[in-house]
Amino acid sequence: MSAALTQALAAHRHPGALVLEGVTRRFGGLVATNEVTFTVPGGELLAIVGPNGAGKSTLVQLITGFVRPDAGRIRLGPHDLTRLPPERISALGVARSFQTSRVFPGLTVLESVLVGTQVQLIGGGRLPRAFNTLAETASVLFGLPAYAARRRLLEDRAEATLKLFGDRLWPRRDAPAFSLSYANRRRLEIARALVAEPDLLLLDEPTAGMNPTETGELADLIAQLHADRPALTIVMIEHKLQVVRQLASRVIVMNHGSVLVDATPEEALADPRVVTAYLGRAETSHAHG
Amino acid sequence: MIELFLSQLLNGLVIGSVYALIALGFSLVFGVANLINFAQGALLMLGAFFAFTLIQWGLPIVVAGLLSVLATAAVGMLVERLALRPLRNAPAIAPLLSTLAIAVIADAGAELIWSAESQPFPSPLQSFVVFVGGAFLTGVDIATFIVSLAVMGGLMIFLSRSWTGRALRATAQDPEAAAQMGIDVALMRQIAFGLAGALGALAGILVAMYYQSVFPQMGVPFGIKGFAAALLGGLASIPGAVLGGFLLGIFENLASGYVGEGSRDLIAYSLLILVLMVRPQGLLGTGKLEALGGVGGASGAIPTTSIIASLGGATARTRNWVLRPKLWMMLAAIALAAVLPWLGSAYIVQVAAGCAVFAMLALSLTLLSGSAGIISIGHAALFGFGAYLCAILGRNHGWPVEGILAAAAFGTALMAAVATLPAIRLTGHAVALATLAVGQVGYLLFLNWIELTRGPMGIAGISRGTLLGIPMQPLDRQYWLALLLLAVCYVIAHRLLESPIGRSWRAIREDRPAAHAAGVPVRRYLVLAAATSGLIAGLAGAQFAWLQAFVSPDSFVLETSIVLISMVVLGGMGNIAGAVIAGVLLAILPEALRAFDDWRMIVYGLILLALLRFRPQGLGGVR
Amino acid sequence: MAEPYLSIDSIDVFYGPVQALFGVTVTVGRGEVVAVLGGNASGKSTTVKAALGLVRPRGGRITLAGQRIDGLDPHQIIGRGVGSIPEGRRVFAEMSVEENLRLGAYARRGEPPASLQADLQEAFALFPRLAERRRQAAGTLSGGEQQMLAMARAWMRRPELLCIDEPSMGLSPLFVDHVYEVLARWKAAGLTILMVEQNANMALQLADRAYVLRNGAIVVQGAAAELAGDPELRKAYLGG
Repeated sequence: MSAALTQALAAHRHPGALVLEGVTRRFGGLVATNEVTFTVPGGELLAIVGPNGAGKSTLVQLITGFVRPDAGRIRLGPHDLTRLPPERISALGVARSFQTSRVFPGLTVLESVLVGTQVQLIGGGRLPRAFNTLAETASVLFGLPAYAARRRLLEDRAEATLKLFGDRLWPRRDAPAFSLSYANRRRLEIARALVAEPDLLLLDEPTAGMNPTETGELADLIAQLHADRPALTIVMIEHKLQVVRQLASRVIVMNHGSVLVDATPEEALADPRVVTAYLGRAETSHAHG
Repeated sequence: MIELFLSQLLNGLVIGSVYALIALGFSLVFGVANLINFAQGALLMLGAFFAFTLIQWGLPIVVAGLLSVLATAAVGMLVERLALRPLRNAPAIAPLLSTLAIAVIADAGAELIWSAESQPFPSPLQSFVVFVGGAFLTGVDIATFIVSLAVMGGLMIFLSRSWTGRALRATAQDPEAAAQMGIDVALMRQIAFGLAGALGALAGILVAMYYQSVFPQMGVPFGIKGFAAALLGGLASIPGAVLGGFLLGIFENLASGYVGEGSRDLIAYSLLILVLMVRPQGLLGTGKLEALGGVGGASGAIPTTSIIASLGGATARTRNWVLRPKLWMMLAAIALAAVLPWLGSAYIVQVAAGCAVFAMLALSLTLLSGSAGIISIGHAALFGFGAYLCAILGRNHGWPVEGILAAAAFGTALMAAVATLPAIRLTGHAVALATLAVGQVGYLLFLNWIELTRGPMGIAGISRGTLLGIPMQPLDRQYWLALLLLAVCYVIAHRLLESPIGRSWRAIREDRPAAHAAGVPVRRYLVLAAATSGLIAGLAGAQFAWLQAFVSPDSFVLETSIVLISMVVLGGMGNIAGAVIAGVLLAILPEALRAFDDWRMIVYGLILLALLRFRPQGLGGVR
Repeated sequence: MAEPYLSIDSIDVFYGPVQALFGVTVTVGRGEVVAVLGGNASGKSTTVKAALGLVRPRGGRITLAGQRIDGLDPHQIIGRGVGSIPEGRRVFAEMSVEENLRLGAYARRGEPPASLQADLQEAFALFPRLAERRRQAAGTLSGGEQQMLAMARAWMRRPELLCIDEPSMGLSPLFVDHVYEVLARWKAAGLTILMVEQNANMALQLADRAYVLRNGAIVVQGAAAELAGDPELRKAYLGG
């Protein structure tokens, strides 16, 4: 039973390329992203870097449907994501973390992760529809077995996902999410994204606010994940360049809403334009006056 | 024909100018303090009564009016002190419910001081009449229009030319940037409340002159009209408030001229709901650029959309102890209550049956407002819907009890799902406003759909029928049925809450964007929460109709909705066991206070105010 | 050494449970331009927010002209002669350019209208682009123009100390140059400036001294000319 279910839940994964074509979004007078075009092949780990206000987070907001582009298209494999609402995009296999790490503060750690399994529980998106509203309600009220089996399976998966983070999260599974440390809230958010078994994982500054040890630990986890799930495409916004060097096979540097450099980490980070974009412009190198 | 049009248009302009004044009060407070001030109607009513008393003391009307405006401005500042300032770090819902509590206390207090009856208000210019084409205007109309326009003009000049006015607008647009200009933001909030009080008082005096009467209940309808006008224009927009006021006045007068006077309020509230659904930012309002993000995010506080969580984030969040009894314990307690008919008098059984009904209602509302985070201030309409279904199907159509139970449960569930649709896309305080409007529409339908509901007379002689062959006439059996329904509803609520459905409700409440991102079909679960809540409220309504053998609109007024939300807060939002206990407690309270019945609503208001201040997590703790 | 005009003395700042600053000390002498540099989330913005009273330090002290200001509200600190150009410009979008400028002088509302009017004319002379758009709503300006407006608005305060949070953020190179030209002029006129900047190369050209923050603590400080070549600086930004 359980094996069949696992298969049913796994069978619908069709990793495809993430394609952005001329994606433009303005906020008032500010052009947040300007005709951004790039393709991320399935299974790639791409890092997006750039200074504050370069449009990196807007890009994540655009891909996940929280912000709609003024122009351009966004596709994932066969699906056009351009005009879809966030939960439909999520159900198609796109999981994300937020820059500000949005956990559900009043839910327990385990519950927070389980929220990420809801689509798999009721179906829809990549999966065939399994329980409509009435069927789900009836299943809950009368304890029907099909729903319960699926629920148990997903609870096991949530447990396994929490245990990916060693003893950081699992021992705290019954604590409310708001009681977690900042670093643990970031981990919890990533756990919620992973438990959905996404085809595309978007991480917005996953190591922000972590000390070097914690940063290293999370980078190792992402590396492990990348190795274990070769089909999973990962796009991460990251400022810590040692993390970028360790993980990314490709780097896109954004500046003023546009793609400045698109290359391997070594090339991109050595590019004088990138050094300039980060440290800032100065007409006459470091001379004074 | 053209006379009617012209006459209604002129009337609309006059009353619209009063609505614009009230709307300006809302807009100022909403803009500067980011709060929908539910006490605005009460300020209007107090302003009218202050003037009324001063005139009785022999002061000329103009002097009385000016003094009243000053006094009410002071009351407005007091509202800020009580409802807003001490609650800056409290849950987001606390200031809103506090203004509601203050409104309740003011209304009930006015009934005590000035009597609940309508009293004549002097209107010296009423006999002066001017004809405009085929229509006519009284001196009061002209004075109202001129005074309103003058005040609006003065306010516009104040806001655009004076240092304080500019500082108020800057605070409304961006308080943090305003502070960096050297503006005392806390002072601006207080000034906004003071101005809201002054505008409310002026509107109240004009309304009293227009209708030549004052009465304590006048605050609510005019308060809601003011909301509607402010919302129509765009809540934080000052020109929008003026435009909204005039549009609402004209629209409503044309409707009452062509459709009938009874439809006036109904159409105003329906317009409000329509605007909320179609263009929630109003005609002149603009959506804020929240999508840019990062502004609040960098501050390090835990982001949440929860109305229960406090702005201070994790540190201020109280979670010492949460009442979560096992299911069998609650069922055992309900079973234990079943022995009451052998112990107590018929009076006690009657009270206990009422307690069971209110426990169901509190249970029903805590699912929607506590668990799913849709704050409803219109729940009495669903309660009433169930009660009227029972009365009409039973009395007029002879339905059996079994059929009535099914109809009340599923009919109200469906009704709740539909009625909640306007609120689903909304967040924050606008939800409370939408549900309030829906609740008022329900009440007005009960009152005005006379062919069906017999209007204010109500429906008497509701038969209790037989259930599964058992005659249900005896009170004891009604009581047991109430307990049985309560037990069934409690089991339903418990099972749903402990399932992935309840988890999804709470996730949506805690952080709606994160729920969207996690793939939770938000709309589906909110509709389900509303339907479940409606199902329980409908059963409670039917039970109520049988217990009273009589239903009338009086049972489903705004006060009832406020009592229900008080029960939910008292029990601990989203805590079903707490809700049941709070429902019982607050249903016993009026019996205990029988000797002081006039004080009942004041006591409710004070309980709510004290809870929000000192124990916002309620008795049972937030779940 | 004379007592500095602004002294931020080993402050700790927390956002809820998260500590953002660890014993940060920054001083600004009269007439000095001091830059606080660092990568994202290094705590540089928090430092200037603490000086403005927008966040309250849990430990340490802040003095302005010898008087303690930690614990004061922002409007009280602004009232003592401080002007601010906030991060992300934060112009009052629905108000006109002119109204924004008048609000900049809010702390000077007791002064005779004639002197404010004269300053308004001077601000328009300083930023001719704004003069052309004085009746236009600030929200309709481009990002660069909004930065000009935020600068002119702070200038209307006629501050003794000007705090600037990321003046070049999100601006095109042309506007960045313009911003720094104006700042250089103000510096030449003797204005005391505390600036937070991500654009380290530009900031170091302007500043007399600079502090580099990393993970909420100061890692390097010194004269701007010497810091420009310091490898720690690059490390703070590019993460080594």
